[in-house]
Amino acid sequence: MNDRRNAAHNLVGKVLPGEWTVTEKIVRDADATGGNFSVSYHVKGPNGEPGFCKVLDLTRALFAPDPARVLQNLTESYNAERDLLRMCGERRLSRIVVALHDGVIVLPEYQMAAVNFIILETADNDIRGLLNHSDAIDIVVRLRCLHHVATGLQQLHKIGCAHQDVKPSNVLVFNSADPRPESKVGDLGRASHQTREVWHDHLDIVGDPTYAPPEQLYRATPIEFGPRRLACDLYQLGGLACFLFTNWTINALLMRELHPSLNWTNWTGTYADVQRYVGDALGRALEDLRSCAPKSIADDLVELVRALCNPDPALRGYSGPGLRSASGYALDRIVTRLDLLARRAESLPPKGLP
Amino acid sequence: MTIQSGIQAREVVPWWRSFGAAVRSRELLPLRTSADRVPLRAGVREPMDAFNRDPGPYTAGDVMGHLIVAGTDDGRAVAAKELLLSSSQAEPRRRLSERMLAPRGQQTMDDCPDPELDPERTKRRISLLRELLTREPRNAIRWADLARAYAEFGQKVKARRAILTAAELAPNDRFVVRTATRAFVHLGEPDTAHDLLLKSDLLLHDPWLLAAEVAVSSILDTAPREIRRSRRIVERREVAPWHLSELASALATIEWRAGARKRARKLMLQATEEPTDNALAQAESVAKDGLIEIAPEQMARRRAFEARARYFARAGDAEKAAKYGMLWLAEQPFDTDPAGFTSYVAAAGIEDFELSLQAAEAGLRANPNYALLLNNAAYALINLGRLAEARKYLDRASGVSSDSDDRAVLLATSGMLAFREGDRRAGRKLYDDAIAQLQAPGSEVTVLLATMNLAREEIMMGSVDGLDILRSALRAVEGSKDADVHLAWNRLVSSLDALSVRLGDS
Repeated sequence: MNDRRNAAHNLVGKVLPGEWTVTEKIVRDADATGGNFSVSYHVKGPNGEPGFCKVLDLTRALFAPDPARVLQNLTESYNAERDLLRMCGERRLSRIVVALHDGVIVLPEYQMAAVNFIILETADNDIRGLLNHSDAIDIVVRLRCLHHVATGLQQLHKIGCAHQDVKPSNVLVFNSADPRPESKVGDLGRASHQTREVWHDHLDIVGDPTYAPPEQLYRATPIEFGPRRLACDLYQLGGLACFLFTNWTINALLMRELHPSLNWTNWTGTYADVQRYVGDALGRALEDLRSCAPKSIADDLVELVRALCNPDPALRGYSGPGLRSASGYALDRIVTRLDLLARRAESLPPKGLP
Repeated sequence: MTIQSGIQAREVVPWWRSFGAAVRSRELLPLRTSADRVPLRAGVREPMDAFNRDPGPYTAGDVMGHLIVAGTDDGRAVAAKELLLSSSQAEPRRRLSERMLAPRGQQTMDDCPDPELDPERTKRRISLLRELLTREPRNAIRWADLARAYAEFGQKVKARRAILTAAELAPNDRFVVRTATRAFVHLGEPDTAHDLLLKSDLLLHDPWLLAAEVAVSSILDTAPREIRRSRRIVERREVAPWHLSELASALATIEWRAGARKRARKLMLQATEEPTDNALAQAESVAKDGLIEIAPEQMARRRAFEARARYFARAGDAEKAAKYGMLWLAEQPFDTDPAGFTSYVAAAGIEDFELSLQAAEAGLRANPNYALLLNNAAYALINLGRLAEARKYLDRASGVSSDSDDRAVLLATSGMLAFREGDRRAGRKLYDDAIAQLQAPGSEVTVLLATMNLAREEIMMGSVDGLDILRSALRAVEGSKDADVHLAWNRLVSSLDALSVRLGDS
């Protein structure tokens, strides 16, 4: 269907339910994991507050090889994300980018007249943009960002939800002009809830493969919620820590350290057989992290990432032998540890990365 | 005979390689493909879009991360690469980017064989590994590597402790179990090696471990416990020939020793369809018996150092045998076989006594009380005119030698030393005593080599007895089929030519 006959593409100037005015269409290519099934807009609320509007574009599904399936998946994903965002809002999850409003707008003049939308908090940037121009940004910002993301994941886990797509572009920064900007975890499009099944729950790699844990890359995704989904979040949190201090993804470092015959694009055996070698490569990758991290926190940071990125999803986490909590993947100690590291860094004179 | 190779009956015991070398050798490849691989989607549009909007190290790193992880770095991201490598980046991260974006090369920890056999390099490696293991105490791979590095220095107690730790941490890992097998054989504990193999869950279906079980059983002189399973796996050919190469080779060796040449030949041919370096060396070691002939293209395999060393020794090309012997020694520096072989070939074949000494001393670092290597080092030193140093080696050797043949060989080398010190009478007596002690069956070649050396020493002293001894040796040489004998004879004739001595002239 032509975009001109589709309301989803023609919302600029319209007032959405809740008195949100659409101000600008965001022209952007499809993202890595979501496909090209949504249109984004800048919106303004009744009091002039900014918002980010995500509009579901079902028409693209009609051109898919299996339209019925794609429509079903899209609808399911949208409803799941909307419900989850509502839940996050109701629970006042402070480190998750929550929905300000959601609903349906009907514009009869278009052939595809009714479209669903969700309005989210607007961030200033994602973490990549904040760090791009800022070698001088002190380590506190990075540590505080990690602390905020860990807290966000902890909040999600406590309501029985796993994010599964934690990556730099989904770490959104608010008040970036402040010396201590705030970070929140965005994009719950690939999240899973323990009690509600969504189609993408069955994918081996749910989120962006670039940040996926190795068991997913080697197609050995566990079945149970803990090792399959919570452990995935832990790995991605460790990967984010690596990225913030090296500007390289943990999986790129692993790929470099693994002999080509052992990496996930070539290995044809089981994950159990290669896991030990992945662990060995991780050890070397962590030395790269150590070399890039400030000396004052390097040891703590490396040990944190070592625990978070353990190639064995059953052992992932920071509880240590004999200390694993009942939930297995509780983030409490990680949040505390990151808070402590950030506070320690805050007490020192501001310092950029080495 | 005053120098010898000391090569023992060869078994297809796994090679003891570092982890990096083992991976490169392809012996850790999976037996079967578990699932069809769907290529990962790079999903690079969003990061590329972000980079184009806001070029910087973090958007650039995200772009490159996507391309590297998907294995599709196809040159789309030139600007991102340039930015990551630009001098404006902070130094540690720029260096990391240089490494990340450089063509794949040698890894720091995954050492290649060091042809210089530099002990300082091994010391550095030990230091690195120990440091790493304080951070990763459960890394079985690096415990195994540490054991190997200790073994290179003859620190057997430490090597044993390290390899035992590795085996306890990873009893079902092919690399670790095979490495531990070789290590315990080296440490003189083949029974421990066998126990480890039997305890491993992998043994029942992994031909790489079954091959080790057959080889270790041969050393223990017992029937392999899984021989029927091993035969079945080789016959069924359900996995690629590469994976069956060592098992077929080990079984062929058993059949060959039992005199079943037809079965042995069939198995050895299977072993060499797509051979490992180990299986190829085994095939070459039995080739002199005419069991099979190895195709030249197989011998040209990049790392078939042992096979090539043995092949050129058999073909009478001592120079190449010594060259590949050194590479074999560099790959297995803890092992007495390559050190003995190379020190022997370099001395007896091409009279390169510096090389012979280097090989013997490298072997002695790992095996300081190995009488044969002490003897060979002394032999090389005598020929280099460093008589006092040679005396020290011989004294050390006499203190550790318990084998009667070893003692006889040491007597002969002491005889040579006496000749060179100008004491012909003592030298002659020591040689005669040595030859008298070497009268047991199977010592004929050793006696002949000792006799030739005695003849040369006598001739060099201007004694006419030397020519008589030489004439008597010639008849035995003509009747011998042993390549070492002919190699030594040709070398002796050349050196006497240099002294303008002509057989029969007098």
